[in-house]
Amino acid sequence: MDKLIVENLTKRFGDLVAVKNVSFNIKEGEFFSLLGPSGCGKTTTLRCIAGLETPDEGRIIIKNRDVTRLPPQERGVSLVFQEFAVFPHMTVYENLAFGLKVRKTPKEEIKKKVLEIAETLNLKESLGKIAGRLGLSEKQRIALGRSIIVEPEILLLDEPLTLVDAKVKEAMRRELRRLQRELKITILYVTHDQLEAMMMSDRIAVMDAGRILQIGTPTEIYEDPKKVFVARFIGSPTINLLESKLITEKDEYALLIKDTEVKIHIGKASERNVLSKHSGRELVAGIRPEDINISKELEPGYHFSSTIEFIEMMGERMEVYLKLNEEYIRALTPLRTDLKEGDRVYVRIPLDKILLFEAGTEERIL
Amino acid sequence: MRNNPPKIITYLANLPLNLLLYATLIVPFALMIYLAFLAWNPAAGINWWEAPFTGVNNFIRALSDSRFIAALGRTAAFVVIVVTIEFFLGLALAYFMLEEFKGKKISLSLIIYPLMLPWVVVALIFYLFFQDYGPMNNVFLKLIIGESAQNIHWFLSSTTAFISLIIADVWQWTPFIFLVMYSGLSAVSKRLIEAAQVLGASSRTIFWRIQLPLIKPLVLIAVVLRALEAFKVFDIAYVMTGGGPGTSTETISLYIYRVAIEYHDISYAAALSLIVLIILVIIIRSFIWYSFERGVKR
Amino acid sequence: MNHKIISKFTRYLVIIIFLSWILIPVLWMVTLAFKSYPEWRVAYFFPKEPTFMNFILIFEPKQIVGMMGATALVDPVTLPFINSLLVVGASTVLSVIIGFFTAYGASRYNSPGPFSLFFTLLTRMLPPATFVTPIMVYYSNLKLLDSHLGLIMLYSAVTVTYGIWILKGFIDQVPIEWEQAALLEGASHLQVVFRVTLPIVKSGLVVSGLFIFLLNWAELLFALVLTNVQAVTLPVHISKYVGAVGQLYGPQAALGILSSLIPVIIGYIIQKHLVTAFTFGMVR
Repeated sequence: MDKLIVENLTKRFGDLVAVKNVSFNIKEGEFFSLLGPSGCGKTTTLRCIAGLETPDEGRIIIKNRDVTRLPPQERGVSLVFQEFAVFPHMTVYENLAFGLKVRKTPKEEIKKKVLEIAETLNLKESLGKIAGRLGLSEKQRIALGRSIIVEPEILLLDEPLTLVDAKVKEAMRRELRRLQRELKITILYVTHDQLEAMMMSDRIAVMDAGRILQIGTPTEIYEDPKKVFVARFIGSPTINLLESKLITEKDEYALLIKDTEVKIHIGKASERNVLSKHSGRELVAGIRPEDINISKELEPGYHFSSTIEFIEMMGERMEVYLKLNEEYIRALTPLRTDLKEGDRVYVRIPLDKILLFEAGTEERIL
Repeated sequence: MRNNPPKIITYLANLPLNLLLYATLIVPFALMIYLAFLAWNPAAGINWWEAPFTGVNNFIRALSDSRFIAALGRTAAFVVIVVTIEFFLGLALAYFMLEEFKGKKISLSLIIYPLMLPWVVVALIFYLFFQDYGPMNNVFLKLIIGESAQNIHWFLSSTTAFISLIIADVWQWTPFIFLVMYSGLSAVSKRLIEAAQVLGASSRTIFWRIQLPLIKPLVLIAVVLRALEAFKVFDIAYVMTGGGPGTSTETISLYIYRVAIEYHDISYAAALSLIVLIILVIIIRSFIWYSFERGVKR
Repeated sequence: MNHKIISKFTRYLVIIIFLSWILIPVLWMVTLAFKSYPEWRVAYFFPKEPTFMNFILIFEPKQIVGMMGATALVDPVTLPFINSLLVVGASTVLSVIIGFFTAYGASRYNSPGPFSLFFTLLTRMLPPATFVTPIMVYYSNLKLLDSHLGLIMLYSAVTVTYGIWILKGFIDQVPIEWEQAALLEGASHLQVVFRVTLPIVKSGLVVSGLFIFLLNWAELLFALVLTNVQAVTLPVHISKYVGAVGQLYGPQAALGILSSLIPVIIGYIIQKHLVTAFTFGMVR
């Protein structure tokens, strides 16, 4: 069942169109992320769903109710702000109880629920303390707690981990995920951190410049990006994007990498007819660093040779920078002792891992 | 660097100030303490250093001076009434002004104007206002009670005279409380308000449970400042009612002024002044201790 | 998303009521000032035959015939007005200057310390009537009674505390690194104060100056006690006018307008400046 349906949401601020025709659905119990760089419109979208901004066009439907014109108080959502915004003059208890008190829940029940949530979030000792005096981690849990306690249809989170220490982030991510599964909450999570979104979400919507570029599971987005932007945004280290031209040699298709002599043969013409209409055109080839094979010996089927410009050690992995003309290709390999800077190596790329995009529209073709 | 000021800075920062204060205030203050213990009649042509010492007589006289005590009580009552009214009016006004609306800027400028006017002018305005045929009688009373209302001679009865002073003060100073509250309330972070909204709080709840509690310390300071100022009330009493009818609107400042200037009883005026000063200092100090103690505890 | 708390109607109603409450008394005085003698005791607002007579009257020394034939000789307002300008202007400048230096020391070096600063606050917290008596005696001995200098000194002493507090707030906002940088480049401490700090807190000087000016312009009690003929200030003159010619409402109203002109202008300037002052604080 769809918990949230966003239809053709558009929001303008003066001349700036922050959100352009955004549509997506979230199912019950799903952990759904809006992922994108700063300024892409994800926070604005979130705020429209919460009711803090009025959309210029479009509808928002929560659990079959059209809430587009309703004030935030009546929507049945909760929002955890980036800055937490706990009520500094109230105790932790009062903060947590706030939403329930507003709903005129009887005192006994409030007490029970607050104690429960305090237990889950490890806030029991702090219940009597003044919220304004506490540290970031506690404040975040308070913000979370008071949002969950009112049992919202959807829990909205606006980059809640941005202000948190790197070390604490990981614990919090696990915590959030665990809570979500345990309490079966539907979550809409906004972030610019692709790692975060990939780790925690059931599905992700990648946004840029006010539009949604792609919606899918983390795996889908990773393996099957529909646009160059998506491919580039997801994955660390960043994908290698090579400008190339689709040519035919003998009866095979090949990618001629721009400004080089390198040709990557990608298969027989007969087997890859989807490429036929792009023959001769400019394409962008995407190759993930982790998919590149490097070998010191000349092996059959290699695509090109290159020199190692630079090696960056990353614990049990290394990032190897290979020179290609004026540019670098980045490769990610497990730790190997046989490679040194300056070595001449032979590079092979598994054909099924090459992502091809049309140069102009940046649409994925293969 | 903090604790080692270069000499020139120390001089500039302290010398002029101290010179000014000592020359104009501190020396006279010391003088006042001496004067209070004298029985001095300047009309007799002698100077104060020649006047006979009279011990604590002036103080004892003050304690049984019913006019003095009445003036003190009256002024205290005035302060309480006026500050209370201004507090609630200022608060209500701030509540209504909190959102954007057409003409807000102009309204704000206009509301603040009474604060700019000199007290004497305010006294004058209301002196004219409360005249028999003035708007108070002819417009407002008729609005409230109806056409048959009789003209009140505001300055001729002690109750109405007192009320007229209250109205004048409230007119001028409510904007002050309003300004403080309005600034404080506007400064409350928008995020907090949004958070409360999403949690389901109505705007009324937000006002009472979030915004108001957050400006408590600010409001406290404003109220205390206003109370101190109100205690000084002189101009309106002097100009509007002259303390009358009789002495029914004689504030403490007015009384001391009279004793010193009209009755030329300088020593007694000095004694009265000292008593009032001591009372005030005690109140101020206990207030400071009280608020600091609570601050530390919390 | 802005939700209407109260219906638009209620809000406008309340605000209009309050605004009329603010404006009507002033309107009364203003219209009265333009009424000629027969209209001084009427109940309606706008004069049927407006005249400038009252404004001229207050400037002329005349025997004015009161209502029941009682006459009173009243001085023209010219001298008090000029005196006020002089005394208030001078004491404002003095308060601001001394306030600036004191504030600088207090802000950067804690000298004078918080205790002294609190002490200066006392000058404002205590009723003037409670310490005017010895000042009168003191000035009498020093031949400072009815003198401009005497008033200027006293006014400065009483309002310097505002200069200190307002300017300290502004100086606190100036990053101390800028001063330290200038010092490192060889500037003397005095030069730092005048070339670095002072220009930045200019609007603070203006705000505190205007504020202090307003306060002193309105001061009645001290002037009442300490002046007589020569150094009489405007507020004193007004109070005398009301007392001496109690029933001459027209001229009184004209006086009121005259004395309000400058405060109103200052009020307007302060409002404009407050905006810059606030944004300065935030942008910094």
